[in-house]
Amino acid sequence: MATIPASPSAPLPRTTFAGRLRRNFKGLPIAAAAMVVVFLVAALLAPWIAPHDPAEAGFLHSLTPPVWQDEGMLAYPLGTDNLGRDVLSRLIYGAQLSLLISFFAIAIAGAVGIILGLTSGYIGGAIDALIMRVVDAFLAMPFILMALGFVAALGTSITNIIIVMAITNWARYARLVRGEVLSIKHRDFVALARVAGQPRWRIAVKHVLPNITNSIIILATLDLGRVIILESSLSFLGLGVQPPAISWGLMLADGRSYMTVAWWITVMPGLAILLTVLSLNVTGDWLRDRLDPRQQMD
Amino acid sequence: MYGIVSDMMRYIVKRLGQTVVTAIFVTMIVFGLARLTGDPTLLLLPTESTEEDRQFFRKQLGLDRSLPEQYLTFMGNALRGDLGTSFRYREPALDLVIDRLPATLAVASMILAVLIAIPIGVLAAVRRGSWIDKLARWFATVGQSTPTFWLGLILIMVFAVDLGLLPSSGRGGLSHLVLPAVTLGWYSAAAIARLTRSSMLEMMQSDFVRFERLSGLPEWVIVTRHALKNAAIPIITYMALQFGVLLSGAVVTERVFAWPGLGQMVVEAINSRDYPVVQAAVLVASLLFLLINLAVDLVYSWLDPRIRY
Repeated sequence: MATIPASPSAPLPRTTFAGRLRRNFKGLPIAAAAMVVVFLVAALLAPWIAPHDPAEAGFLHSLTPPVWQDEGMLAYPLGTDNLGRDVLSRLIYGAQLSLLISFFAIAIAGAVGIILGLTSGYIGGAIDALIMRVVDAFLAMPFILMALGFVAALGTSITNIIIVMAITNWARYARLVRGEVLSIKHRDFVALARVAGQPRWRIAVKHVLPNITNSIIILATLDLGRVIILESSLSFLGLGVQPPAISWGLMLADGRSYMTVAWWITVMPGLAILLTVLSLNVTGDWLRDRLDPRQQMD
Repeated sequence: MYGIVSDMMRYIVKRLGQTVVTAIFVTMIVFGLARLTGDPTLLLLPTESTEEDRQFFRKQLGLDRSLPEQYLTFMGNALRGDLGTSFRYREPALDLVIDRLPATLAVASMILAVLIAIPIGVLAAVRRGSWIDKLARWFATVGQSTPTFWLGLILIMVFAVDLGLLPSSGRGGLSHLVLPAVTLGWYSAAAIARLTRSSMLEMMQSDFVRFERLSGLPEWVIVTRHALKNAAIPIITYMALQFGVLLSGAVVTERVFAWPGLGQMVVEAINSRDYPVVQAAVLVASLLFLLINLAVDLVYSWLDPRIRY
């Protein structure tokens, strides 16, 4: 491979790595993106960065307020709960479970939705009509009630919660993918591939799918936040993650009885949920404006 | 004219057909849910009951027949309005659910959401780029990211515990309704504000608003009488759909405010394995949503004759 000698004069900004970076990430909401990274890192490195064992109770320092309040202790920056467990460490471990559940749930929901959506949009006819009515049925069922129903039926293990979240969320992907497939199915490059004699499944996977990944990524980013809220709602109702596992929704439910004496047990996990979902939503909005100009809000 | 009418008829028939098929799928899912839960005789009969007792009971409930047969029986009963009897209350499950549909709470939340969201959305669009626009966009984004139950708890902490202004729980007069309605309506308010802003922006840039400006109509007349009226269709559609979401979203809110409604009942039903009630609740909420959806589509096609099917 021939090497191109580096030009001594300043290259055009768009050809340099930094230039490309600047162009690709133009307008990126830095605070939001950084927050997403912080939560990801916290979740991945929980055992190393959590200052305490999240399950370690200590009655001597139970209900310690956050460090900036009068009786706060530096050892427990966000205070402790009724059993003296460190709120910060529990938040960090809670991030692990919340993000894990949402990630796998969306991955499964997305995969199922993509397969059914591609089939529906590409094959059309009776199969399309059938799949779309099933999609409508799932979209008509209220998320929280449907999730409660399935949790009641399957039980509350982490795997089951992931399955329930996937069951309640795949339909949106199927509908999105089908719509996108319909809009590009008759374009020239698809017709060309068909003329070239490629099998249908291959055209769908090799030519159609790559053209709709942007929309899927956007939906998945925005959905992560929705699923985090859904999971924490279930856990808050006592029908999601079960102790001793740690989830933000569960922490909130636990803190509820101490709300009047120790606001931080309830406020902190809620803030964690709010900040995570907010940064995912802001990043998702940016991605949408960036990747899919048709859907821009304004 | 004849062509348009028959087009519309065809559309109505098609939508009705779709809704019926979708509803059948909903019943299948709900039926499947019940079958996933396993053998109800284990829960209904005392632990010391014999295998013969169980066999007898299964036969009574029709569980010894094939799944398709069981489904047809379930459907037959459902069509007659019989969704089983609550194990716990010994009352028809359907009656229990309908009695507790959180209509008051959902209506109050929707009214509140609309009262807040539409002015915010309109102002933001009219004063695009101003501080009020920025504030509105923040409200929309934060509002759609707030966990409902947390907001409810914070509101209780501030308005009921610290300030002592409003009751924190239970059902009663109007004052009991304020905090739950704000909590439940918050998300919808954010979403409606966002939608109002974007459809108003589109309207304000349209040729017809430009033309009205040229013809010298005062700006507020253009905004309220003409632009908002035209921007209203997607907003109303969304509100109708959101109403269904509110009805079921109330589950969590009710729990926070110890509001004795559908949500409380469903959570208790799940905890006590009272499946007919869970089933009835999911079924009623889903069918309601489908009906609202259908109604919106039909009204829409009637209001806007430009829509072609």
